[in-house]
Amino acid sequence: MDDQQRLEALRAELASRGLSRAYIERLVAELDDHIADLANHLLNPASHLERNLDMSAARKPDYFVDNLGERIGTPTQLAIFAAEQYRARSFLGRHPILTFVMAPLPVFAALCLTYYLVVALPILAFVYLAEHVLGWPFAIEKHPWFGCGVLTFFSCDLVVLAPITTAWLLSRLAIRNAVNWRWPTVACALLAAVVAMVRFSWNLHPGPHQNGVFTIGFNVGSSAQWILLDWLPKFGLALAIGLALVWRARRPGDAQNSDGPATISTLPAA
Amino acid sequence: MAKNSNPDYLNGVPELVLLQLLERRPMYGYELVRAIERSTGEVLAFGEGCIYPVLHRLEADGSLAGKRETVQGRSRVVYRLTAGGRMRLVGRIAAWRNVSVAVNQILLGDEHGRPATT
Repeated sequence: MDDQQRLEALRAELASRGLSRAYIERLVAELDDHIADLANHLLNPASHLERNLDMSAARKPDYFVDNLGERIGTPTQLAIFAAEQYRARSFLGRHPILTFVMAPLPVFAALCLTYYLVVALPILAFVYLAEHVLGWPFAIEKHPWFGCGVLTFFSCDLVVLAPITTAWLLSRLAIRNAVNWRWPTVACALLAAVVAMVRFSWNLHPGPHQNGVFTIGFNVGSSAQWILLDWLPKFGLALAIGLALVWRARRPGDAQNSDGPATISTLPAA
Repeated sequence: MAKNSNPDYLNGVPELVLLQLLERRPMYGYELVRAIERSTGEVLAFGEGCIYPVLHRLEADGSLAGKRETVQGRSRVVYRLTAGGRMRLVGRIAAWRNVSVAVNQILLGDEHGRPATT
């Protein structure tokens, strides 16, 4: 394998590990420079008298090619090491268990709350202004469509919007930091397991002089029937959506188009 | 010439060595590899290609600044230590000295692990 084949093999190994295109090109360019310096060093020993080499052997091109792997490292070894160092740059790369096993549920809860507040606060503000500033009588109980809309949004937020956003966010973060795709998959499985247990129901008009009821919680059964017919299909559907997001995020085009660190991308071209 | 890789307990040493060498003057990757060999009498032998991912990581966390420059008629990425890198180097040197003293105490201590007395 000559040096260019070696660099091409390295490029392919790095791409298969999800490193960004900017990073790969920079590493390969610097290694190319290094190999050129090394070749100059080995083939012109007079300019590098400090080296303790068998100079007659060093002048032979075969010697250079044969020793390149030993000195630089094989493409696989280099790619493994480069991916480790690349991941070590980010907190989530250094702590995948914390990020992809412990954090998804708090992130999911925070997103649920955020979505709810973003939608609910303007509506509540509108109702308050209508009643107290503009003087419009706005009795919520007389507008069932209003309650239905809010509760439908809240339910969708809980089982659709927030989990999908969480899965998408974690998948993108994993790919941008070259974290193994198995970690966001674990995160999606956890989310899917929890989302499949969420239960909610409402009855806005149970009867005259009775208040409407909205219940929300987790339904955890232990019977085989519950697991097979209730939880498992929902879990499967949620997991399939999560896996689709992970798969989409790790498409080569997406991964390689993601930006490398600014320090790399802003380097002037050679 | 066969190159022996260094044992696992040298994890973290490349970073310390690179920061220390760059504290003296800016260098590019190949220069750094040669400087390590010269300075250590080739006792420390890192895979030459492994220098670059470490440099890139240090650059990403702000310890180094890399810039493409023309050196001896060729374009190369020259690395410089930043102020953050100097602080990091101070911390790494202190940590290394602590480890070194601790290991020496064990190596030179008696059979009960007590430090050697002079």
